[in-house]
Amino acid sequence: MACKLHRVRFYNPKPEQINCVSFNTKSKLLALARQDASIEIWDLNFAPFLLKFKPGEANTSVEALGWVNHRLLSTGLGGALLEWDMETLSIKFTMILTGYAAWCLDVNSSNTLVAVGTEQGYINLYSVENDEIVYKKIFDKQEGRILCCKFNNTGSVLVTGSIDTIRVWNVETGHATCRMSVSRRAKETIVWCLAVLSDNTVISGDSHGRLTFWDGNLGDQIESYKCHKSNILSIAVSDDENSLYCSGVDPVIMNFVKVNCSSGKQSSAQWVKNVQRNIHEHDVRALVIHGDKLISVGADGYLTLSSYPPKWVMRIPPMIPAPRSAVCPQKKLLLLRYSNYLEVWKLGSYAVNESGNVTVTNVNLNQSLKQKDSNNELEKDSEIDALSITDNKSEKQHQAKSLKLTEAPIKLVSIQTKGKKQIKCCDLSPSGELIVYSTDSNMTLLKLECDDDQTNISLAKVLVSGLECCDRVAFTEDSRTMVAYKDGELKVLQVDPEAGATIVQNIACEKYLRSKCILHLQISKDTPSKTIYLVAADTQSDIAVWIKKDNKFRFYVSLPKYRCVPSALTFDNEEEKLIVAYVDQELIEYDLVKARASKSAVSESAAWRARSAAAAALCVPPARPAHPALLARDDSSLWLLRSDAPQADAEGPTPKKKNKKKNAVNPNSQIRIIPMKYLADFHWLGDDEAVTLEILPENIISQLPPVIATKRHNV
Amino acid sequence: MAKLHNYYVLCPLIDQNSFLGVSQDRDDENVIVTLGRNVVNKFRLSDQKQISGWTSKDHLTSAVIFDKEQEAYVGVFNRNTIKTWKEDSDNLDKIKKYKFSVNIFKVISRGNQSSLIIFENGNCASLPYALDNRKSYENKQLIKESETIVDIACYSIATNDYICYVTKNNKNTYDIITCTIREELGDMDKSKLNKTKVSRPEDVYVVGELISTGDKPCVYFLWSDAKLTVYDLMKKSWKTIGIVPWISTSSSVSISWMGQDHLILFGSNSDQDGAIIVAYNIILGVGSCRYPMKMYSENAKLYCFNGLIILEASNHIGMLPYVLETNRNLSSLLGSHDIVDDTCAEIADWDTPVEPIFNETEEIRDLLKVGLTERGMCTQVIPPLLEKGNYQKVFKTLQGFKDIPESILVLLLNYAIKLVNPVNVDITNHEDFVKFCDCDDESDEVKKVLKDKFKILDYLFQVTFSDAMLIPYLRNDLSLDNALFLMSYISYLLVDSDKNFNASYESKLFDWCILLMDAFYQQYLLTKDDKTTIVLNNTQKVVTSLIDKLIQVNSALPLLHKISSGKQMENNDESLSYAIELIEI
Repeated sequence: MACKLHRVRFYNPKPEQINCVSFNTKSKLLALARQDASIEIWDLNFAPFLLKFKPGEANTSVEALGWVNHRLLSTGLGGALLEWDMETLSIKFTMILTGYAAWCLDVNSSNTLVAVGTEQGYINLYSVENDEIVYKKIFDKQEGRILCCKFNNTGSVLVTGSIDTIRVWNVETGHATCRMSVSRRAKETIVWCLAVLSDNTVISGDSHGRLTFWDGNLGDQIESYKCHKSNILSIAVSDDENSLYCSGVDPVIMNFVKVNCSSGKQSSAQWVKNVQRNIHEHDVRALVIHGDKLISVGADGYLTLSSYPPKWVMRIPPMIPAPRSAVCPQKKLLLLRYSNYLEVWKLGSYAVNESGNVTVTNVNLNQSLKQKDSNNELEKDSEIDALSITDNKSEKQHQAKSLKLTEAPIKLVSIQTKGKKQIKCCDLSPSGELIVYSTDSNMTLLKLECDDDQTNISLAKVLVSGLECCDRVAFTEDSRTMVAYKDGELKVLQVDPEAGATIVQNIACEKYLRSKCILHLQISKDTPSKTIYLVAADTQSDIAVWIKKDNKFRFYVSLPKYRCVPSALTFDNEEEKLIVAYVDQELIEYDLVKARASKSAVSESAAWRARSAAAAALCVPPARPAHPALLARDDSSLWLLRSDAPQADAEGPTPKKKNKKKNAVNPNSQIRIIPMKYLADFHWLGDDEAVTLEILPENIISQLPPVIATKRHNV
Repeated sequence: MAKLHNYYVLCPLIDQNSFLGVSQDRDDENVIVTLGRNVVNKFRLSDQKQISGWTSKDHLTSAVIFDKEQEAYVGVFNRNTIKTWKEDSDNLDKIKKYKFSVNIFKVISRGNQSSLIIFENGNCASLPYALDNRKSYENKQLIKESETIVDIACYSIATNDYICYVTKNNKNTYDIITCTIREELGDMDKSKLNKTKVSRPEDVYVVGELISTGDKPCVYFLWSDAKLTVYDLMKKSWKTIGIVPWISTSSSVSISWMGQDHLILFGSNSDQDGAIIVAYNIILGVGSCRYPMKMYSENAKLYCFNGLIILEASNHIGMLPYVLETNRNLSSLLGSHDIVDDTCAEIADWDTPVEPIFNETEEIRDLLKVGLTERGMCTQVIPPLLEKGNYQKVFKTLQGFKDIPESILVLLLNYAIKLVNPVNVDITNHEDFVKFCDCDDESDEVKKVLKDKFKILDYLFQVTFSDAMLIPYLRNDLSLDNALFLMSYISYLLVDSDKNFNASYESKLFDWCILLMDAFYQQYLLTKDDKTTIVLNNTQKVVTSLIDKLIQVNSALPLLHKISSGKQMENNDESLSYAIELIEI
């Protein structure tokens, strides 16, 4: 069924550069910090999924991150070592460092010691055993700031890099055992990154683009490669120490492999250049090897995963964490969340002719898919495999027909947060009259009043009593009840736009949710059985459901435990089902009436299973069976899942047959993919009207700092 | 003055020897290039794109032309066959041939009249007539065996059409043959044939010629001593124009007509180590612009179409855009005028009339006899007139002078301002000022008088002057108030007035504005007067709004062009920030 799709492409939050990452090899969690000091925790066990998000604060910085088992440490230019509470994402412990601003941090392999390098040249050593941070030692002061530090495998040796020098320290005594001079021809050289191998070989990357191998015992240079045109900022060594990657301001990712060359009796190992990858256009700040995948991050803000061979790239664009938008279908309002402000837009409208049909201005074949820019050497995102299978049918659908606009979208209001703090969560009531947002210290409820012709727009603050701030918030369909989550408690608030919001019920969740950090909070619409469900899911993959009875929410059921976190969930209001998508691409349908879980047929199909991105949202279309049963969204595509038998009324029976043959494994499930780069959100506005929030890659690039100039001969 | 822009390539030449020529297409901006013996291409001048083209198995022997009467292209094949074809024909070999028993020299188009066929024996006939009677068409030799036709052109004087030949004989002497051509038939009226010998008493020879068929039909000859002479086809008289500078006249020079008193010449440069293009002003007898080129090619074909010089170069056809202005910037001409002593004594027919040929007024009659210069006369005649105060008389006398001294100009300005008497009007009040300038408030009679007074002022702005000489007079004799009034009046003329004036007058107005700013800038800076600020702000507003309009026109032009050429506007949806699309979900 043809659907009028409002394609909103003016939502362009500023992409924030990624400063540093730390990968926890045990829990497979990746912590990354951005330029605005926000910290994100990504779960890389299955499809990459943003688990936790801590908004950044003004005038703070995170320069280095480190995992100590399940504890996350960070340091920055503020000159303190911080430990983060992983449940509430707040500071748990602060340790003031000696030597002002800190540039680097490393944890030894046994997770007992942390070394922090500072501006004044002091290395601070802390013991981190027994869930504590205890001061242990300060090494001898050295000249100049310490920009990088690395423990060796045993933790007995620490190697530090600063301007013109690399020092090797004995951790026990705190004295330097070796000093290597990096400067050449009196040119200042900054050692940006280091790696230490188990045989005490030290590898350094410097500001002249040189990758140098040193003997860590004697301080001799073994080899040096001028492999980059500019600063090398990061080195990542594989676990078996046979391969390493380096990259930096010159964003080519260079791979070196160890080659054993045995000549006669003597066998010696040599590092040689292997492949190089052009994945980034901007500075690469950090590299992490995770199994067969290389994670690279940098100034472009993308979290990029790549592997070779075969060449495969997956880019996760820098986006504001979900929920990043909300709609009021009735008034066609769209709420957009930016890092520290909100915007409310009134969507445009299309022209309708006398006979009531929409007027189409032009039919444009959507060729953007296959467009190849020969000039651009950058490796493209690997396409979804399933796309090529299902593509033959969708040839027709690529003919997007643009409708004539009678009204352009209008920005009604822009709401700055109090103190310009970053937003944690926000929502727009289904009635379109209330907007709620919370920063980590302040929760605000606003009433939006607007004439039909958008001449009189007023915004009034509505009092919220009893609640300072919250982590998640959701409205019921009638917009009169609001549920907010804070510190392991669900607060049910009665909302009156005139009188204000007051807490009417507190639900303690610790019985049902093991983690205090929740991922999802949703309230169903009125179901056929006249019940309203409330669901909350946490980062430990616990999902609990409450039902509303007599104006009170009561615990109803907990879903069966599953091995991984749910990436998206939604209610099927008509059939009273809860549909949950997990990061391992499992799709579970939970019948709320019968309290029974069943696997969705769709999730069996190979195309669905082969997905590399987690489903970021699920959406049940309002009018069925005209629409497919379920819509799933990830960052780069919209998946239309049809579990029932195909309909006869659709046009073009021949291509459909073909399609059937291809999906012969499961003839009942049909999958169609609409690629959109990057799809930030999708909402239904009515039976045949929807809105997509798109962030075009070129809009991300246009907001990034300039890249280093490279000579391209073909330009 | 002519200004030549940058040279660029229209298309490459296959073989220079077989290149036949360029001619104008139906539209001004397209040209037909007869590239070789069997290739004809059409090019758009604006983007140098080939828009269509034809090839033929038969050899073309003269440049293909577009015949406006038949709306068809006409080409001469194998020297004796004519083919005509339309825009959409794709195969020239299948088109009907009209074979003649006499060899054809070329076909020339005559605007809206039917084209002329020129035969090698010197006869001509209109195209339809010749095609109809080609079997019986016989004519006696008009041009001797020893002569060759160098150039042919048609021109008309009053309602009569003429044809003009320039021929060259084996002794390298040139003749001009003119003859009336009969209507419809297009053949020559032999009884009115006229032959003129081209010669000069000195030992010189002709290196370049051009039949100009503009307002004044005439034939230009460039001689080996760089002298340019002209034969007026109407008066049948010779005149020497001057010496063409910069160009070497030891080899042949190609000449073409640029328009507005300018010839364009292409020849070897004076050092003979490259070529040069020279724009030559025939009124002033000076070279006004030159453009150096790398390669000289003998007898290169040179054309001027649509503001472009089109030149045959060694391996390509080049284009050189130019601008012609009738501006008075004499300084650009300095050094371009060569004076050569005429060593040969010539008996000049001064034809000196005893009485001047123009109607002199009584004021200057005496002065004329004394032999005063125009400036001198002006200084003596105008001031007493101003004191008497009859403005109509002043205006009339004024129009008799072309060269007005700057001091008198300032006097006249003051006088004209006093005439319109702007004392009572507040120039800071825009509405009042416009009303005042439109003379709206007055009764009809007063209005007429006042309008006449304004006319003097309007006239004064178009008088030529020298900036440097005028500024001191302006500073001394013009009051600040008057200067402000003039500036306001100029902005009124530019924006609010409904008077019509041409571009050069408008450019003069801007010059005056600059001049007033120049002359009074210190006073403008130092006065804290609100009036000054308002006038200056207003002028600035006028200028910026005019610039904005120019930019708008500039941006609208390609769009209009696109629409007029019937192209659909490209709507790049992907880059739009918002769209509603119909998508199957």
